[in-house]
Amino acid sequence: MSELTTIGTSPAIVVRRKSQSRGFFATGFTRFLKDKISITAMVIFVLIALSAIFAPFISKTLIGYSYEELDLTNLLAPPGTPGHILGTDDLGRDNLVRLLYGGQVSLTVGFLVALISGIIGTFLGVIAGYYGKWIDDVVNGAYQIVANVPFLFLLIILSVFFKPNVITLALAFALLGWPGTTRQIRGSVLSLRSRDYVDAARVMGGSDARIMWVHLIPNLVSTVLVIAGFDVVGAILGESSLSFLGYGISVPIPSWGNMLSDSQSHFQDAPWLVYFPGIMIFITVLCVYLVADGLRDAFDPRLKNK
Amino acid sequence: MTRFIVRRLIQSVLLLWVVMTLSFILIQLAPGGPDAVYANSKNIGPAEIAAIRKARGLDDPLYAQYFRWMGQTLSLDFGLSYSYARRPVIDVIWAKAGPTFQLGLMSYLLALLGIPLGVYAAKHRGKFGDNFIRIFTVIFTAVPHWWLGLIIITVLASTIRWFPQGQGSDNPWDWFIHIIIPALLLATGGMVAFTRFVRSETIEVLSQDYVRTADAKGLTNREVQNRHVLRNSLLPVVTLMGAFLPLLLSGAALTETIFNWPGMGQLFITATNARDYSVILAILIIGTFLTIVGTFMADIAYGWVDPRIRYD
Repeated sequence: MSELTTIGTSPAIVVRRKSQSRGFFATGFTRFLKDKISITAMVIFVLIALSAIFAPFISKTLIGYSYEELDLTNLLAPPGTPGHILGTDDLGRDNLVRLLYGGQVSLTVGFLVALISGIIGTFLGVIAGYYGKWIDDVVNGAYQIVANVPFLFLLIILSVFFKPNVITLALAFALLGWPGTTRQIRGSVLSLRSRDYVDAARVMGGSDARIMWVHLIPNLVSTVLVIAGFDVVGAILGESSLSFLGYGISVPIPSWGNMLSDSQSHFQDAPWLVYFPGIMIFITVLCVYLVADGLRDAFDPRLKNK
Repeated sequence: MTRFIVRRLIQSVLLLWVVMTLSFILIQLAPGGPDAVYANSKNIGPAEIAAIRKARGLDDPLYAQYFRWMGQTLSLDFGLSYSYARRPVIDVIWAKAGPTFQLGLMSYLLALLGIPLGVYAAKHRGKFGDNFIRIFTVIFTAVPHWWLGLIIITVLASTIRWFPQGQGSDNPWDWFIHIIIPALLLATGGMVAFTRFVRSETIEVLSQDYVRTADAKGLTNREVQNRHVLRNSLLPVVTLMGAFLPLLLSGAALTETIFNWPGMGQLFITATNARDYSVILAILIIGTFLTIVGTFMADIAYGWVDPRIRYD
């Protein structure tokens, strides 16, 4: 890319321009920002996240109820009841407030899982792909174990043995969720490690650690980011299933899953208790999925429509 | 090929051994220890506990317990169920295997509909049908299938005052209307996975040189599609057919609970609610065993249909 460009015939006017190549990430994100679907999903997701983060503030000042406050004059009030826009449950707790708090659980679990399983999965995938041989076999063995156990059954057993909170629940999901990341990272590393620049680094005396840290991992960031997005999707869906069955987050703290679990006994007289938590799960997961999908297309346009 | 089968067989046995060992450790870690696993009941006194400890040999050294437990598990002796009138665990599970098998098989067949959907989407890439299928797959990825079950029950109950609960009678029509909704919902995850996978495989194959060559030679479209494209694009689907099994089992726990389907998934949840540890651990081990067998068979089938796969 030329640094200097002359405009017109006069050599006197010289415009100094920056390099036009803006780097891999800038190009990717610009492409991402141009995709209307991804951006819409991103905006909706940010709104949901903000409403979850500020749930205490919103519920106290705007709605006037806390998540465990009982309004005994309004049991099973339908949506639209004054004071309870989205109705109340069988104990008279405000549905909207509980939905906001439920978002805290889902999003915290989702992002913790993506973070932890991203770290474990990337680490194992990089060393398995880079070193191969017995390390690869060991990682593959661990992969096989986790992939062949019906994960929901194992999670329920673990949850019965060790009462989970948000952190331990996320840890359990991550410990069962890393194999997906490892598989993809390992595949990418296999193709990256035979590149010329890796050979060059090795010829110049770069250590294995340096090659992995400086030459491999930066090239994997976009892949990891995309996988992390899909991990969030899996974790939110998994947490809600587990809580729905009664083995996730324990009851006084609302989560979308345990709200649906409570709603089951009222599906005939209060169907709105069934609708709203599920709609929240659906919208949140859909947005995260679309953002991850958009990121993948943006970073690797060859994959588009594939 | 024989070498490959033997190799995979050894791997599968090793895998089963590791999972069983981990289950044994899990039993030791259970709150209250193995006593609790075999005798979880509030009404049980020290005398009964002593009797159970003696019967299951829980006073022996750990390694002796481990080997005996392995032997018992391999002969399908999972002890007695506490919540099901103290019947042998394996009998309790066996009684529920039939309904789960029916539901699982039905879902599996429905999920395979994803294959023609994927082929169709690939052939009409970027057109209306493809976009429609894509929206369908995205929606069904994001929506929890068990919540859809709740919605269907809610809507059907309030409109036509009917919701599919339980297994239905022997009358084939009655059986069908009871199984179809839970089976469809259980199938969604697999159907979406098959559709996506087949679509991208088919698109990949369509851009191969040998397809262009076949086209250039003047073969009819149908011949190219059937002999050159589908044959190659559908082969890898076999591997996915094995991977769908654990998903099916986990999904069954939710679907069977919601639709009151008397199968292993529902048994797992009721046994967990009753803290009937021996039943839930037995289901975990059996479920893992079935998955390992399924994956093994899928791998063998893949090696058999695709002679290019040379494992060594």
